[in-house]
Amino acid sequence: MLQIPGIRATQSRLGTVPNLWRASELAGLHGGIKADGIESGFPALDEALFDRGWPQGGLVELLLDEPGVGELSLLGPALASISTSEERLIAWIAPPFVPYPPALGAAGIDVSKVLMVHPDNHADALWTFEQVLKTGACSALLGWLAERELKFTEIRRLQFAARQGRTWASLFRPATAAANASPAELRLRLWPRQRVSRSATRRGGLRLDLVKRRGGWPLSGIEIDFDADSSLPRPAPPIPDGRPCSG
Amino acid sequence: MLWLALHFPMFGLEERLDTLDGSATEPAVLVEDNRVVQVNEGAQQAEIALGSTLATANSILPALNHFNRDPAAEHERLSRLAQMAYRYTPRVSPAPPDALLLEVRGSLRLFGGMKALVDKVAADCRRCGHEQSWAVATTPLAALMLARAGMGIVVEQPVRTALNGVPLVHGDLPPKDLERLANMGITRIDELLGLPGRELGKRFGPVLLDYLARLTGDKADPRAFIEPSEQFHSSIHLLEPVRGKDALLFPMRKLAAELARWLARRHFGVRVLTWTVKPLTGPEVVLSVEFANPRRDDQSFLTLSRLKLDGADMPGEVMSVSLRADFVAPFSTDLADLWGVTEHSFHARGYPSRSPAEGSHARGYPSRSPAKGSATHAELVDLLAAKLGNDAVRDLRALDDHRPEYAWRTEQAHCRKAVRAIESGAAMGHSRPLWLLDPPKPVDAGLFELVSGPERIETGWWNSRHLVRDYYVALSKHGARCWLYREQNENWFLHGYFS
Repeated sequence: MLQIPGIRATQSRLGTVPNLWRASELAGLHGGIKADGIESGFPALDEALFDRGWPQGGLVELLLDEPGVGELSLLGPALASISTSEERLIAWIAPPFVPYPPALGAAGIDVSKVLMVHPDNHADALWTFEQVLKTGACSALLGWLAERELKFTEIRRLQFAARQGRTWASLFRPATAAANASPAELRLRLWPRQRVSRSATRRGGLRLDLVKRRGGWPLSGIEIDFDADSSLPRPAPPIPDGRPCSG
Repeated sequence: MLWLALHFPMFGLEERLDTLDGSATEPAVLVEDNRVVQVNEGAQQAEIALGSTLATANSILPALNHFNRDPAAEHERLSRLAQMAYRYTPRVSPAPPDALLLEVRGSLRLFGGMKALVDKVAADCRRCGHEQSWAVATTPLAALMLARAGMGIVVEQPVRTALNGVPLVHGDLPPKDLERLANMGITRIDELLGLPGRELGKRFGPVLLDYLARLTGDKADPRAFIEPSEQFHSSIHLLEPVRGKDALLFPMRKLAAELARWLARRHFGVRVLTWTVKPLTGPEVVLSVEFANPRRDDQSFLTLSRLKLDGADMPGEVMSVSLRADFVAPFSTDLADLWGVTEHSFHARGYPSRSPAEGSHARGYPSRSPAKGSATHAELVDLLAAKLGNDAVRDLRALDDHRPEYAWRTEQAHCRKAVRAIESGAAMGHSRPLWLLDPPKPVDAGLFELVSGPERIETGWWNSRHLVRDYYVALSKHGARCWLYREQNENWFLHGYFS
């Protein structure tokens, strides 16, 4: 067999370069690759992701039109699983609203692991992101930044910090940011489902476009149905109309 | 009883010089009432005599540094040295103005003999910036006298013979008596001890006799021992005002190191540090640094204090910096601190197996180890709180209340306690939104399509926050599932997103 001296060394050195993906790691060639992502709870999504789930250390951008379209339900099952399997905290940096503890508890997320941080300004927020990611004291981060002040290089720093601290970082950005390039490892565009369920018991779903993913082309039209997911608690029984619930 | 006396001949000058950075070798003198009372090596080489006036000294050496004696600062310094010496023996007694007495008989074995003990104590004093002379004797006064004479000897037998030839000026006699004795031709202690006591008493009074009896051990000489302080408070008074935050780090580093030593001796950690920075004019600035768990390493004190300092407004010229340690608590190193996480299985969490899938999730992911060198919760909380303020870093709590806005609360993450998650029974059977708007936002109900409801919440009548609301699940025109409520006066509010 032909041996080219030095090629092995080069290969092993290449293996250590961050953000370098090899052809053998492409999606669809999953066979030999150990997938170590955090299961999202939605098989259709896991199938499309490089790690077979949310990255354990990496930045994910969630692009949405307005808050409340279903972004928390999308992350819910994975947050529930890491909040019970890990002692590390889950940091929420500058959330637009209050993550409501009774509902988090009902989704299986351990509320005592939640750490809320409200920085005053953009610079402090970036510092907080970086500290949370770099120190590795948190298993996951959910963060919101001032879009107007956010720069490409700042996102790149966050991506590296997430790698370094092995933290799953989710950055929520407005949908308009989808047009710009970003160094984030995974970018998802969230659409509310076209055909919205009118039923009281159903919790709807999302359509996802993978704007950017590791080891694969962009992909659009992944349908996520929150009700079909068996890992979530059953939805509440129908509320009999008009029944007062006074304490 | 075996007394180790430590005498610091240059105590006042060294105390002053310690507040300067790196200029301790320049010629300097200590001045009291316009007279030179202490000289350092540099000044000695310039042949500045003790007792000369400041003007004379300055004419000899114009570049001379001079400091005025500050008895209060010396006293404070001496008691700090006494606290430091407490690690060698529980019986430490300061002998103002410039000496310490340590009863060391019980400590000899632990520290490996007299020589080793003296070496350790001397090294500690030198680290604090004080050169000392020492002596060991069976009575405190004799030890002091020998130490002042610079003997550096250990006297275990009755002290009379050891005192032979020691000049009287090294004793504790008042200057008036010394002068009278000198006029009588008596300048050494053995000459004084040779005189008959009765006649001495007649001429000099009982005080002198009492002193001699205590010196030789004929009479007991009880000493007051210090109590180890339970409060750390130390300050550095700067001789020249400093400007800027970087310049402040030098005194801060010194104080932090001192605190770390103090804590290590007591096996304590500290929860709250308070820095007080006094400017030349204007109000002082107080910075307090809190830790979620007791800590005792000066590096983390400095890192967090520095973050706090960055965010604070500093006065232009700073004259003194002081550090106080509040909430000292026994320090324990926890295994959890070492690894960042403990190997808790999901079963041990005692989490109710509400959903069958929860187990399978956890099984799919055995405790993943975090990155190497990852910080603990407490370290992260400390770091964030030091920079952003305690109010910006919060924990979330669920409370058991039917009223949606009272079913949660945030607390400063510093006050983190091991609270079991409350199983809120209030929302039993009803779905609750993941996002809650605080406060609720008034909306036009026409823009929403009601999906289900109402759920009547009427409670809180026992206090002023009585509310009667009908809650509905509704869809916004963007397709977001919203939580709306209608008050009795038909006003609609958006209270959350199911998201």
